[in-house]
Amino acid sequence: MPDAATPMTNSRRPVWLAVGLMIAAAGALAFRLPLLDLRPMHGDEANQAIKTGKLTDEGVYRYDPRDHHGPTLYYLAALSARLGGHADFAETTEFTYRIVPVVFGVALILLLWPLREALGAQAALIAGLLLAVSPAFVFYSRYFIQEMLLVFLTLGLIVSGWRYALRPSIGLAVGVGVCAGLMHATKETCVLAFASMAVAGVASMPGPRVTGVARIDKRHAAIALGAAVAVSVVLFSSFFTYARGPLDSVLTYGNYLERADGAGLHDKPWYYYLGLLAFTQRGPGPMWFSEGAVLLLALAGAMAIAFRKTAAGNSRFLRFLALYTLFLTLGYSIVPYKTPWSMLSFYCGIALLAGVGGAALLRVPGNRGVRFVVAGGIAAILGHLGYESWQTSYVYPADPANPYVYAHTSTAHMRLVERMEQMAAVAPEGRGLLVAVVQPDRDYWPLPWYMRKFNHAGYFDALPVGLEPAVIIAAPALGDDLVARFGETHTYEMQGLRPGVLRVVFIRKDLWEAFMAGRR
Amino acid sequence: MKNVCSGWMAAMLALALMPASWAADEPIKFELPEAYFGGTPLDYFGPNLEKPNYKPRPDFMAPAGAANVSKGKTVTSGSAAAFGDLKMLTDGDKGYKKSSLLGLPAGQQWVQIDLGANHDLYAILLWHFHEGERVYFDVAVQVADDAEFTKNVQVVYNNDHDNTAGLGEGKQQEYIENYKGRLMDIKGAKGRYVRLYSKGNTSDDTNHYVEAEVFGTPAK
Repeated sequence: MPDAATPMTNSRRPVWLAVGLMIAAAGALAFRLPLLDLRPMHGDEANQAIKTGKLTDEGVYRYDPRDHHGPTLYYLAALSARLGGHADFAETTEFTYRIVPVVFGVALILLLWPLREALGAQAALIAGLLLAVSPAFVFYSRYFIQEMLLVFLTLGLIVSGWRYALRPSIGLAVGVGVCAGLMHATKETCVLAFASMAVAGVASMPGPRVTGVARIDKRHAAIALGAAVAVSVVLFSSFFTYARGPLDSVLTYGNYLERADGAGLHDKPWYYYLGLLAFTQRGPGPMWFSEGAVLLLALAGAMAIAFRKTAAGNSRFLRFLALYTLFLTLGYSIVPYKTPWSMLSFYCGIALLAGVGGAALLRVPGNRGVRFVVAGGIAAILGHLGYESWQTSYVYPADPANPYVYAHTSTAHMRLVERMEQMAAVAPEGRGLLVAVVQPDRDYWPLPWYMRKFNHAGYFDALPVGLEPAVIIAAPALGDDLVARFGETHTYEMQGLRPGVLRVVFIRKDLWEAFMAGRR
Repeated sequence: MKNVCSGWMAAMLALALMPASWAADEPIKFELPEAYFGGTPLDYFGPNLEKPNYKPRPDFMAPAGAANVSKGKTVTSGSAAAFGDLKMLTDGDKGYKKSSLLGLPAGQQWVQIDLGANHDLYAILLWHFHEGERVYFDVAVQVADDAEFTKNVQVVYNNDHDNTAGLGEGKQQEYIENYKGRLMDIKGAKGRYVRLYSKGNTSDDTNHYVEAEVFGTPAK
């Protein structure tokens, strides 16, 4: 058992851990980087890419408090587009956007190095390996949404907060503030992490007299708060070009409270996240997925912390970690509004606890044989997770049987994308042909992403009178009206958007005949 | 009177000369699986979609002795199965449950049945995944004398309206899967190998097969 009263120093830098974390990071990169365009763009990814496009092409970003998250992801994606040398938004690719979460998904593992003494070196390595191959972390590291960035920044805040607690300094206070400000500028749910950290911090570090944790300097606290506010204001004000942004970044919580109140499309029972991680079998075929072994290891870690049987690490930090993870898991579980990627925030804590559990199990009393079996078990868990990562991210990346696929664009949608390119190939005006997407509820995402090179594509709630598009993509409910209007001039067919969600596509007959002439 | 007699004689002559197979046509008895009730109606709209028919299927007449000649026969495919086993295509299990399902990867795929010898073929009854409503795209069926489909190749069914598969512009209609399966009248086509094509469905881009029954008689 570690000595809780002894402050940890960073003088011990085990080379094997550095090498191990580098290998874990390299493995994480190998799992995350290939074939970033394999999975069709989710509607949310497409929507955020379009928003980034306004930033890259027009230099404009405006925080939308109703239906979008904070600005960090868009600015980072704009940076990615610039580094990629893309002339404009139309030239960007899936890689431009998805590389951003890939980078943070890998960097997350490297953050375990400064936590090596707080967690224990063995625990840090096991946690790093689990994060590297976890199907959920791999899958959402390839997903252009805010989650991986938020998870990285949250762990960054924990790291800088813990390092500050050991050795207060202005630099670390600024680090705390910057991480907190960036979290706020990334996603509104950061408040759940702040609250969990605060409660866990109070519960696990009862007073300044306890050795090993220094007192918080009021001046440092003011500096941290100032840094957080400054970072948040700079980003939400779009670098001082949009004064309302910072105000909206606070007012938005009114919208989120309404959303969290329930009775919405994304409402799910409290056990949704844990059930998803524990065991999922759905969709055609005998496919099942589970990260339950990580949950069990985390449970072992929590018990080791509770009964002071951890292999190494700082007991106070470990108690904080266990409580923080518990409170955050409860927080996300209680809120009715649930999307599967949201669980990454607390699942990161679970992975760290799993590392603690694994390390504790490796130290159980017994002969070498027992430890060999435990090590073999951990290796088997890592192997199983790696296999599932391959299955979820590369074999079934958009299949409803995949537990991490949520309201996702169907792979069948790519037939529509292909059809549009086929029509552009035979149209005299190429991709300049007139396309109308008619959808009263605006449920047409990710089409604007895939149509980004079609410069005469319009999106309408109802088809304007007098407009004669070459191609019309519409909700099936509008089919009868459109047949009455275009039945003589257009042929039509069905194409997929999401599983069971279809769109009727009207194609002008001269284009269709030109296309079919090349096929006969 | 003379005309009546000559007409009667002609009719008798025609009956005497009629091939035995014509005279002995009888309905094929199809065994259908349990129907799935559940899910929501498929919001599908199109000129090429057959309207659902909830009435009992009319008898399908075929020469006496026409039977399922595909049961238990060897199955091959263009790509390895994503899940399930190829032999599930002809194992007699037509249920809607996922355990009855053979999955093939995304895109255009085919499965092929070797009937073991040349046959005169009259009907194919095909089930894709029928738990809930789906339309499978570019469904086409070929019959041939050889496994490579180079000899006596006949397209006996095709609803690939834009010729994605390159088998010609399909004129048959798309249809919504159900427990009755898709009955294809293949009009006495002759061959040993039957190849079934599809390219994704209204839910995703993958391909699912439950069962294929090929009805025929040994070739004369």
